[in-house]
Amino acid sequence: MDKTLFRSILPYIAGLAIASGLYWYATMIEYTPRPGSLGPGAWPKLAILLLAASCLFEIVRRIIVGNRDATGLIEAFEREEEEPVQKTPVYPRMLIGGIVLMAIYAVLLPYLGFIFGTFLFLVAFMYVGGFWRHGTVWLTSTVVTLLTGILFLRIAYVSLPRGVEPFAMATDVFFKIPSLW
Amino acid sequence: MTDILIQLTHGFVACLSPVHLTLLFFGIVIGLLIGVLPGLTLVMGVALALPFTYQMDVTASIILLGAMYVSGTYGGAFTAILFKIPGEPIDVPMLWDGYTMGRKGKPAKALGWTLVAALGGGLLSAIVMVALTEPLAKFALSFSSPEYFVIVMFGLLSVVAIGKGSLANAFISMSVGILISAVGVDPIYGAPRFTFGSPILADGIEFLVVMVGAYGVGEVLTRLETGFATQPIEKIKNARTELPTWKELKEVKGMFFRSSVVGDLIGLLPGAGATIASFVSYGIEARFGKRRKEMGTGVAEGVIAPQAAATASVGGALVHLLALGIPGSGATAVMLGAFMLHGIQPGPQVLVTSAPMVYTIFASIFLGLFLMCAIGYLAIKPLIKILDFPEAVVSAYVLTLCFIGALSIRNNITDLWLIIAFGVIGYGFERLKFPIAPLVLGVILGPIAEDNFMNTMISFSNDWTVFFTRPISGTIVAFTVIVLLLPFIQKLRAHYLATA
Repeated sequence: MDKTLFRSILPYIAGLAIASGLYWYATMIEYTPRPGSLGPGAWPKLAILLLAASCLFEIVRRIIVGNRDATGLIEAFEREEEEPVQKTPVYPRMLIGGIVLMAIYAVLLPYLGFIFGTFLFLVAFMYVGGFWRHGTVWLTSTVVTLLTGILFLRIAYVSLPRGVEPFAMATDVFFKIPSLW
Repeated sequence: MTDILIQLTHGFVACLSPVHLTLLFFGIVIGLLIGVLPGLTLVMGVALALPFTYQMDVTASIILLGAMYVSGTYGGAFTAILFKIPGEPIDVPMLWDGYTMGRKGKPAKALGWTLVAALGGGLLSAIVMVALTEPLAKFALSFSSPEYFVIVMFGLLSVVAIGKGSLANAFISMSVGILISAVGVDPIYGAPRFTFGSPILADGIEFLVVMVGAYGVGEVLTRLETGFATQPIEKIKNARTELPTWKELKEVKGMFFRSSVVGDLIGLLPGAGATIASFVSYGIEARFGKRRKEMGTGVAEGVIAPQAAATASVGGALVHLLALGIPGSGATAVMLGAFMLHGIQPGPQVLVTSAPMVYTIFASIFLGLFLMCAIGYLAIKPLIKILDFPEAVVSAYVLTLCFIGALSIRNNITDLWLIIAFGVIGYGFERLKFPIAPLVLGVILGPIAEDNFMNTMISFSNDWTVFFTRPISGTIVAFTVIVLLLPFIQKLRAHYLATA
């Protein structure tokens, strides 16, 4: 099989495998059966079947069409693609850096608290995003953290992680600001 | 009719309360800013605002989101006309005549046409919205679970059918959304489904997490991968709006009305929305308009058609959200979410149980349109200043809002992990060309569809033919099939005509 073709059908093969796994899982759902009832697995099974059928259809369609132009009924399933976008260079390292940074944020947030953790996240994300104007990075991070803290902790009263000592002090400072209501 | 007018007057009075007016103002300003910023889409902006509405009552939250929705269809025109940057996909047709008009030395005039088109189209759609919602809701009161099920499926499948790209991908996206909504304890049998032993998954996956993750975090990741590559923006010293004269307005009144009606009708179709309205309306003018040969050369018709239709689609989309409980676009799907967060299910009953709220929302759309035009007219310079902010800074702030959205649900770090996971999934979907709208709609409408499907099966002894044999549901099924098959039939016809 053509390498490009195989690469293009790979997501659908994965989808089909996931659908099979989920279907099996749906048959194992434990419940107390009532006569004439479809059971809790009926609805998810329909969605899984639709998922599997769509994956299977796309695999078959791509195998039949291959690298040739589609004809007849098969062609009808190829809808107009969106406007071709200009090719821009991609930076996978930046992307991975961003995802890793978000994961680190999620791990450290219970310890650092929202205020301190978010401030550090903002600074780090701007650097990861290739923005190196140090003054702007630190200043905007400070302003955004302060505004967010006031807006959500003192105005909207959203419950956000306080963190552990000594970082919790940063959150506690906001609770000393008089509230609007 | 008198009753509707009385209710609407009460709505205006309620809307003029300081809290509602303040929210309306902020909604308009934020919507305009979202429209101006190319990295932020209208749906993403409305989704990001949803967590802010937790502490508000449902009327206030819908006023805020509705104002953002209306003004978001207008703000992008500024950057499209002045800098050739479409803030939203809606504004792409604005580049062809709006920007060209600007290049010919008339940017102020182009902006003036945009303002009038947004106001005119929006007002017409608001009138249609007020006139149609109640009759449609009264009609829908005769619906039972089979009708509801097929209506929800019609909404879902319309989104699948109308979108661009691979149809199979759209179906896959929708199925994944429905499956995500099935996670948790089953409402009828009380059995845990797809929880994999995790207690947090037993509560189900909040649609907010999926929505904000896929739209917000996913979009930021997509842009991060390109190194936040945006083109440098030329400085415009004298950005202002010049309104058209009465004489100029009279010359285009016919096409103005046509474009607004087209926008409204498209808004009434579940799944269509402002972007399709904008393109279709421009296409109609380019094919059938009086000055069709001049389209693309900087004529007023090319500015009015997309803008009037885009803003007019808002009213249409709100009609079936309120009357049937079916969102007609990404933004109304988020608004449906806001209703549900406050324990209110839009649909025919909402006009019986919460009529004052509905009419306050209607009034806010009318007031919002005028406020939007006033702000757009007076504050164009500070609004486009936001383009000076580096994208990395804006994106970092967007991510912070996404995280707050996750944490505000139940102050649980698991939701933060889920939002990051759905962000990565959203990025993957974007990369592999799987549309996100069917995924989000699947998550929101999945439980409603399941409820009605299961109730039908219980009530009609598992007889699935009931969906086809009952008159209303059978008609809707026929419509659904037509909507799904029409693009194929058209394509096949074109193919055979070309080969014949």
